[in-house]
Amino acid sequence: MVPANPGSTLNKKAITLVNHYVQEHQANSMIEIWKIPPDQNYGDPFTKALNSIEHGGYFYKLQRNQSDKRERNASRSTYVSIPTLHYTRLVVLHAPILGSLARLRVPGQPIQTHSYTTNASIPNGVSIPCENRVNPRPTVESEFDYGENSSP
Amino acid sequence: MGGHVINSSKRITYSSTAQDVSIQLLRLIAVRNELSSMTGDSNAVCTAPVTEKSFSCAGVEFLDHNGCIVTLKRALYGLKTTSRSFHEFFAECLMRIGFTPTRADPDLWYRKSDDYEGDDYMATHVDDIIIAAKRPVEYMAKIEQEFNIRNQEDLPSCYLGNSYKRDPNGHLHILSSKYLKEVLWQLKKKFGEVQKMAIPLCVREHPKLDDSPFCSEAEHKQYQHIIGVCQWLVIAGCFAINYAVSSLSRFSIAPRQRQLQLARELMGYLRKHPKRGYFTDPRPPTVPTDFERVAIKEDFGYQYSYFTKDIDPRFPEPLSAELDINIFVDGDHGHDKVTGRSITSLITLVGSTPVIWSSKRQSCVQLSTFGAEFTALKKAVEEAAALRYHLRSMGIKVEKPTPIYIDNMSVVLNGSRQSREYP
Repeated sequence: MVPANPGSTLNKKAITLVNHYVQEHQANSMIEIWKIPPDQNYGDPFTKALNSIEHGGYFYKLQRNQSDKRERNASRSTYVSIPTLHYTRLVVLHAPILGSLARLRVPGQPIQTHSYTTNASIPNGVSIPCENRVNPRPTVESEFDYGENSSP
Repeated sequence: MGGHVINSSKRITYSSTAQDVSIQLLRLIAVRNELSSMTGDSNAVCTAPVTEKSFSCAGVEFLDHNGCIVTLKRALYGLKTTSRSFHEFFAECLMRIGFTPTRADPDLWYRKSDDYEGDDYMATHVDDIIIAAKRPVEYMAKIEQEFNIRNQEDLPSCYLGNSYKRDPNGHLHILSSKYLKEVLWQLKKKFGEVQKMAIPLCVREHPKLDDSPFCSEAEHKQYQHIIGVCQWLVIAGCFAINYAVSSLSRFSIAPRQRQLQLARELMGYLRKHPKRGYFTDPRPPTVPTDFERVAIKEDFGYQYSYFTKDIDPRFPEPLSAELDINIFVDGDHGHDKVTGRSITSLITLVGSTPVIWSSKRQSCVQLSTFGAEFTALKKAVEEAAALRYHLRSMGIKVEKPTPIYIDNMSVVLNGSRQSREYP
């Protein structure tokens, strides 16, 4: 009998098997599972049709030469996020493009901008081991973390 | 006609070919280790000793032997086992030179280099070969002693339908512009020109819900032509159309007119962006910049202490430095509005280079987003294990865990927590 996963309300055997399959690979340091925001997930455009801005944004990142970006980033560390025309998803655009897009905004609604700093401490072209990457958020301890003798 | 009533051969009659991921990794390692590439095409298929028994009656051109029974010793084009015979014949030659087939792909060969601390590689696609080595000319010369090699190209400009271009900085750009140009010309000639489009498939377009009339026979052929071309283009590196092709290829048996229109729009997208490819860059990618991970409890591993890593004793000594593997995976729950099936999508980057990409419907219906995402995660874990095995079999060091990025926190939690059923 396959033991169920206590943290999950899904008791389907198929899910349980998959759960163990994933966990055993992670327990033995073959994989690590990381949560990322949807707008940074390159897998996203493979699941649905996107408008031209989003589609271009995702695939431009994948298809361009990464070294070009590194060279550009050497002198720039701040990105500006603006809502797209559909106001459904944030698309990260370079600051100089912002001015040319200003005319596309909805009248009466100012473009809401916020900026954040990228990992500017990474030197150009240097490999960063996964475990040493700067994590902008603190590590999340599971709220379902049952103690050894406690019950859920 | 009648193929189903013919007994299948007891022998293996086909020749295996190098996997597309093998070619991608070979290119990537060539760039990283600063190896030179060389391609060639052997036209010596007929020199392979034939393994099947074929005979004929000698004609008048055999003079004194007219009327004698003659048996074939060398393969002929069109015989069942010709490609297999050549594959074995060529493999023997490569083994004499010192190459060994990798465990992951028998058509990807490696050999300890005489010139640097690493391996030289060769991939074969029946009679098309590509060599990545410090001095590939020497290997080519050795092969030429036994086989006639034509179309030899140092710094190749194309291989297996892909065009290779180098930018001024020397970065290798992979694209399918040459093939695409030919395809668009043929499409224009046969079915009329397609209009340029900005995206491969319109937003919120669901081809499955289409109820327009079915295509005529001529339109059906056009549809199948477009889908066939696009499926090859996805394999060749046009991953931007992967989702659209996967959505439309389900209707190849009986397409409707609106679906044909969508397929033509897809070609319109390719017409607008014929030179979109990707770069081969072994350095780690610059994104994602914002990620988080759930801490794993220290005793997590006891539960799975039986697990052994996939280290094959026949792997070569890892001489090359490690390459970063990053897998991005996503699932779309209930994407198919008719059957309710979800979609699994993933893209794998080795360095910054896309190596594996896929967009497929899941085989079973999931009742929750979690189920769909978790099934997608399982697929990503399988890909990670396969890719790690592949790299190890090529003599590349693989030690670090492979990060899999997903945008669903419940999946991350479930994949990272200990089951309390075990002590």
